Amino acid sequence: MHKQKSLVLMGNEAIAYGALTAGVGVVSGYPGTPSSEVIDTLLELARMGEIKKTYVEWAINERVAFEVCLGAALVGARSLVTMKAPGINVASDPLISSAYSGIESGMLILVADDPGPHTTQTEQDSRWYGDLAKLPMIEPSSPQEAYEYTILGYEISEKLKLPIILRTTTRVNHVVGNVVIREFKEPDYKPFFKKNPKRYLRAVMTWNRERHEELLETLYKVEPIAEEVGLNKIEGSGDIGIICSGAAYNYVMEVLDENHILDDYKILKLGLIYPLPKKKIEEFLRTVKKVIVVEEIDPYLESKIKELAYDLQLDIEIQGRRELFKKSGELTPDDVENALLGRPILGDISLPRRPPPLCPGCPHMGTYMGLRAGISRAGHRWGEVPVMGDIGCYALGLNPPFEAIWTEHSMGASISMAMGMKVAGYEKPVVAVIGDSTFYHSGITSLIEAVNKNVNILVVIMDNSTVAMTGHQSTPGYSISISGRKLNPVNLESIVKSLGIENVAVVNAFEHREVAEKVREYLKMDGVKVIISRGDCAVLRRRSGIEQVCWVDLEKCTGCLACVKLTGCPALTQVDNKISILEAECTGCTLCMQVCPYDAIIIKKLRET
Amino acid sequence: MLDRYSIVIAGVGGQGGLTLSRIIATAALFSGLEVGTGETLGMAQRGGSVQSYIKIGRSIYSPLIKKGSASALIGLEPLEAARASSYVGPSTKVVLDPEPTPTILNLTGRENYPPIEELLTILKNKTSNLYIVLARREAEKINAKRSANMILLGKLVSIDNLLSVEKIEEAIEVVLGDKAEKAIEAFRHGMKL
Repeated sequence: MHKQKSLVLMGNEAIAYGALTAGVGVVSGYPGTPSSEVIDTLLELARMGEIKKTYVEWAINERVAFEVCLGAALVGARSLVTMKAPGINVASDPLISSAYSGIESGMLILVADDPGPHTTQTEQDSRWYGDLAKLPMIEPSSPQEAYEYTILGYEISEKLKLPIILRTTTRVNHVVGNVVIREFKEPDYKPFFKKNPKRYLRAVMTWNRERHEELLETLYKVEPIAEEVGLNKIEGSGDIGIICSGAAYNYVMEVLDENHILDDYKILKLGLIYPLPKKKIEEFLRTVKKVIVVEEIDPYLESKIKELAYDLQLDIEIQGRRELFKKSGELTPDDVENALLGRPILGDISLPRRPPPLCPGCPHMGTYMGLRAGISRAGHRWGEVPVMGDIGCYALGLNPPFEAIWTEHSMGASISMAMGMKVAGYEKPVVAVIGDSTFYHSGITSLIEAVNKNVNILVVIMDNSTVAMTGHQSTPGYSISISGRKLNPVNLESIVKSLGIENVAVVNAFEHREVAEKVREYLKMDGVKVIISRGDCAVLRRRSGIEQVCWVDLEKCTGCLACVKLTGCPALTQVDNKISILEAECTGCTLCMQVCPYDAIIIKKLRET
Repeated sequence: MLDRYSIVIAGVGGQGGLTLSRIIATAALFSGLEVGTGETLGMAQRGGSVQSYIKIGRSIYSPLIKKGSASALIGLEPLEAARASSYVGPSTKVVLDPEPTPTILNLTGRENYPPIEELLTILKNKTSNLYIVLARREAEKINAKRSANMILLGKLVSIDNLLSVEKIEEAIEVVLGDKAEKAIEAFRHGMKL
């Protein structure tokens, strides 16, 4: 018997622990809420020396991470690649090809969807990727299942010789619950690669067609294997059927239990989402009078189950997302109770919003202040020069006081969309702002395109030397990774300059006048100009120790609020018509001091340097 | 205790809602109860609206709480507590720090913070169990600035039987390590308010 331990874990921690129990050898991914804590957890264990053999690192983007894990799974290492929903779009090219080549040792692809959405640009339902890539997909509903399914995923992957998609949603990734775990296993394999052109080479079209056919054959084996390991289960014996999976299952059980109506229902909980376990579903459909499909985001299961019932010529009422539930937004227990029992849902009250501000001492404040002043000094109005945004903390520059960015679309899109506007003949200058990690992820290719086509745009790379929004993961600029591994840091300026861009400047993000001056100068020039506005993330600066804070001289403060209105810093508050700086929040960045017209803000050293 | 005790924590990112949720979950584990917590992590963590959900007891399927059914609402900030008022029903206990944290829209003069009385009325219309605690001020009084969350937890434990004082203090020690002493002091102080 394995040694067991009972813990309280977040779903993502449980996935990390599951991978370790399965003896994972290579883990890669790109950070993205709600998926990041899987690799965060593993990196912390590596840093503590508790994982020794397993390779765990963040990659430059999801596509690269995917291919790293695919390569590892060809030579015998069990691998895990993690991403949020838009990440699987980035990785979709190798994802779809990988079904034709398959793998030797187990490969698991974690994709974390975000119904709501809480922190994602779309409410993407990545379950469709199962169909698109023809890769088996499994979905856990709790931290315990997240742990178990991760381990089972490797077993199924190796039986089928196919990568398996582990699909989760925010309420599985970020839910904390009781989990029983077993001992971790060291990765145990001798790297070996056997040449097999038909499997691994997609350059011969007859092979591709043959592999497609073989893939379709393989998919027939999935349901029997899923049944063997108990991925799909039927509970209860009532004559109203419910089919559900993932977090939706929890809400169904809770509502039935709380209302003491468990006996009226029969529940089919699917752990296998693609290919649909048709035999199991047919068996279920034949034993109930009607079926309610409970699921989140798209009517994915509903469509397929209705199609199956049609093919089987079953005369049974099937209802789901289309008939009984709201069409967008996160599913809640209230929605399930409303659908099953017709109970009205209490509405939320409408109150003033609280948009998340940039953190106190955020370098992006200085960049936006400088950008604003620079645009105006170049002879344009703020509000007539489009600032194309990108994915990262700096997107919060959409809020007052900056209201800076006009678009936020997909990783790297700031530069390419700015280029699109210019080649379409847009007359005013166009600015693209992009973070360092987003630039490495996808901005580089966009910048090369803009340089090659000699487009007239200003690109501001906001370099805070981390992936800040998702919890401070490493970038290719790091010299030591979070796990303690020595890295070769790439140099941002060198990359940009190597493209032959003449006008490249590095400015201090905390000196807003320096930023403004460079913006003014560059906006008047032709071609692609790049400003690297550099300043470490406020959270990282706080972690390494704050040496000074700013302080208000109440004699001099007139309460004009210039500091608040120009910086938007949350460390500034108003007390009795004067400004007060929350010392615990201040990082001493001096941006407020730089804009105070009355010199009322002074520096207070916390320790001698 | 009920079969399931459910708590909504409403506040502003950085006010200690996540720590509070972790402490309650750990105390529940130490008490041999099942536990489920649900948080939204990521972009809204710092300075935005944050709601955490915790359920402890038996047969915990999910941390999400039905509207009008929370056992308790811990309000770290009045606007955020009012925003979470849909979870409050007649039997919900609400412990609230009424001291406002202005939004960036308030600070930059775009809009006014709603009158506190209005926010309290929203809660009072849902339940008569509203307990106002000047948690941040009380925390400052005992020189435990960052422990307003512990003051509110202390208050909740003094009016409702959800977890034993011993298990909560044990959990504070495990979760906060060397910062536990001040937090336990604040928790005890909250129980007396």
